[in-house]
Amino acid sequence: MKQVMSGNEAVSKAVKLSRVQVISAYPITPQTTISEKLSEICGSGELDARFVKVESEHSAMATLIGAASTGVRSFTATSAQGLALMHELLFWASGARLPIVMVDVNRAMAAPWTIWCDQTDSVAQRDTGWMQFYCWSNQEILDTVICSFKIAEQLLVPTMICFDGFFISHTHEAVDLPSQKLVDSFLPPRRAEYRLDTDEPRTFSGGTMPNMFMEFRHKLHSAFERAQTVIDETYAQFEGSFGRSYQAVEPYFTEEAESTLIVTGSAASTAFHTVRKLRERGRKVGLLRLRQLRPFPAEALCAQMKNDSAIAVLDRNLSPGTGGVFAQEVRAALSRNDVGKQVHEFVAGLGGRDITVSDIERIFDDLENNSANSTDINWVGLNQ
Amino acid sequence: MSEMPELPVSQARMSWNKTGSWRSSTPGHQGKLPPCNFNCPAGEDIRGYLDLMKKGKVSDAFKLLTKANPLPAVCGNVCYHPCQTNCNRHNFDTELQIRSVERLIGDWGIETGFRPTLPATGSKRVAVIGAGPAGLAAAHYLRQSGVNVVLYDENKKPGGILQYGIPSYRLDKDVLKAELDRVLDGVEFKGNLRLGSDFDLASLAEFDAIFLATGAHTSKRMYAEGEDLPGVESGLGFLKRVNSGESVQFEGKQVLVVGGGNTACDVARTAYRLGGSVTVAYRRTEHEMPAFAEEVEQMKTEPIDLEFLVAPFRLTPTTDGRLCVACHRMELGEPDDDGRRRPVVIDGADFDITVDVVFTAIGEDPDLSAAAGLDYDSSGSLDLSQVDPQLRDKLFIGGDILPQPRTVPHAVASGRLASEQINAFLQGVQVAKPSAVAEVATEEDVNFAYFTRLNAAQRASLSSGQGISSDKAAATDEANRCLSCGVCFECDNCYNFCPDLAVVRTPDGYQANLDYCKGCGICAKECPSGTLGMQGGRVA
Repeated sequence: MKQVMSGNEAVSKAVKLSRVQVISAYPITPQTTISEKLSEICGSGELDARFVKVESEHSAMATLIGAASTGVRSFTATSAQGLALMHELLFWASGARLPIVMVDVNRAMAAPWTIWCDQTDSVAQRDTGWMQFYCWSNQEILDTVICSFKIAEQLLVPTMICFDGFFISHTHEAVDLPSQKLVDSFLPPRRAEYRLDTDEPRTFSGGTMPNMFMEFRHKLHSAFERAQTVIDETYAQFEGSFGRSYQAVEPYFTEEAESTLIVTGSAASTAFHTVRKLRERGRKVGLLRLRQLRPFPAEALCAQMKNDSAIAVLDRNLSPGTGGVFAQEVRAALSRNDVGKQVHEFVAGLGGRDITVSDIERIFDDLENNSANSTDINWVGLNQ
Repeated sequence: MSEMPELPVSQARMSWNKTGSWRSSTPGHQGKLPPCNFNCPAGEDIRGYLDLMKKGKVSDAFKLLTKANPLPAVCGNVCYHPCQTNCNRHNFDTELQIRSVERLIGDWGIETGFRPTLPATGSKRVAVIGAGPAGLAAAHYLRQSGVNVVLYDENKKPGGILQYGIPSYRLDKDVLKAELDRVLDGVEFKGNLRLGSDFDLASLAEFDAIFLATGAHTSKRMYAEGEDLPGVESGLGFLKRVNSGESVQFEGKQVLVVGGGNTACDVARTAYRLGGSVTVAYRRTEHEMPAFAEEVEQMKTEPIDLEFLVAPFRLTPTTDGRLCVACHRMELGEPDDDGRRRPVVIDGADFDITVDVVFTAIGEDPDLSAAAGLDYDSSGSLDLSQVDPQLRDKLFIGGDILPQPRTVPHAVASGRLASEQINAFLQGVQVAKPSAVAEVATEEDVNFAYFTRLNAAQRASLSSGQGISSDKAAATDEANRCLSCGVCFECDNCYNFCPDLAVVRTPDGYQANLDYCKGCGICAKECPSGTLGMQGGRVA
């Protein structure tokens, strides 16, 4: 059944369909409508879950760490400063191997004060041991939330689903809403091997000496190494049940492409529209939509690098002094796999600035004219 | 590494690890008293009935309150409310309007016509002499424990100072009557009988016990020349005349009230209401006035002239039938025995004022002459050695005869305690000794983070002296402000906050499971009421 809904509503509906048992969240724009809706459906009894009100995002994550330790399925949503406030506990959730699922509605980090979109908030949490998915549509959000619980609970790795504040969170689209029965058959209740249980007390994440700590880190890393297989299998199973498919790197118009743009989030849909238009005019341009930052889909990306296409990465984030984080990741993946390619990095759309069709056309112009800088950031639409 | 679990969790169960052995301090109930309970002269469990009022249980609140004080509507109007004055909310926003809540509970008893179950009486008979607050309380509680009680009073109606002293603008006579009807249910009242003139103690020999509570009604003398002239009257006598229904008019008259106590306030305000132009002369300053501050404040809202540092020393009749009152001008000297600064005459500063009426209200003494053999010794204690030994053994004494503060709640407590002692005497048992006085919970014991401060408008409304409105909802709202100082109100904070899940709920309240309590103190810190505290050491 198709329903028109915002990106944030798609999250709430997916959380309900996933039969989450504990939710704890603190309001922050542009995430707020997610937790508002969830508190409503918990309050009305529509969803049989505990909604725990807290005084901060730090407490929200701490609550979920406690809840997830008892073996229940748990969820939160946040943005920007809220995510940053959780930073310390993100490590704890992954180190304790708790399959918490969180939505981060991407919002730029202040200062200066802003509520508008960029991805610096989530990419800054790259090394906390969480998987990260980036969505471009409300349908993908709904589907990815459901899949994330299945993936996270198999790997015992917490998972973050990211999408662009306002551009997606507050935009309405038609979304195919699956039945509860179908979701139940795809996503069984969580079964935890170890549960915090006062009748069978155990020590969880207790003081660990140097003879063991590194081994636990290795186990976490190994889970990330297995993760792509689990993700691919889960999405394949999802396609079998729901008829919609997703890949870690989604190629569009890449046949014989001479210029290829790698992009994430809502800018990918603008890029898709632009590429299709340029193809109609006979220009050999292509698009790779990247859906994950962690695990980084290096293999799938390198598989797309077989032609001689020039490569550009569009980042809606900035690591000051270096550049866009996705560009760094692409360079590292290519280098590691011995793919010799120049990567042109473009930074655009920080703090909610629009990334327009003409912005993307200019990127392809630069690639085709060999006028893009390959050793430094190419700033898009920067006022001089 | 392959043998290690995927996540960092102990493979053995940890129940053997009694982490309570790490403890260096231990939580426990401090057993502190709420300041309202501690300061209530009548011994009411104020916090207890406020807790019941929070839950809307007015009937239970009434029953709990009247276990200590059978006159809640009376005291809800006239008590000087030390409960309120000492409330720990004082600095937080403003003290709880406990007296208003008490009045509402008392009103509930009157409106519903509540009557406690009257037990059948046995063979024991007790005579109570004096139907003021002490005698009423004693008679009531004795009758409630199945004793036959005869209550004697020199006046036609029972109530004593409540009936004949306190003016009706402070205590509505209908409220008093309704409360007296309930309190004296089952008690035989004999009015118009004065000890010493209509009967004597010896005539009561047939009773199993006698309770003497004739109060303090003899006005102190001014020791001023001419104080027995016509036109000079004791303030208390005047109040009694007015309260007995006598028609008195002071239209166009100058009235001088001498004194600074509660009687002086009542006399002045009553005389003003009867049309008089009233001056109160007190020999010290407002600061030293023995009247309750609230009474003085209320008097100051009325057009009554207050003259401080003035002492009349000679009264002479004028030719036109008025009184010329010669006064000393005083100043304050060294503190006397009670710490108040002594008034000293300023030489050469005497002056005269001319008035129509003078009321003396400089204090009252008990009249012990009616009780044969009874007297005070040189230290001010009662001496019973001269009382007929046959009577002495069964004679109990209370109320304003005792050297204790002369307030209604003190008298009520004295009557209630006497009833307990008389009961024990009748049954030939010892009265249980009162347990050691517990420490009082202070502001420092309360965690105010858990309480909501009134806003400025609400504070102003309560501080206006109007109290709260007369409905049950207002009483519940007010009771909800109670901090429950020192007493658990089952908020679950200790249970919820304990990081070791070492607080358990039991039928006797919360207990720490000392096998696992590490003594972190969070339970005590987060206890809103200061019920929990930490003791040093690892108490087993």
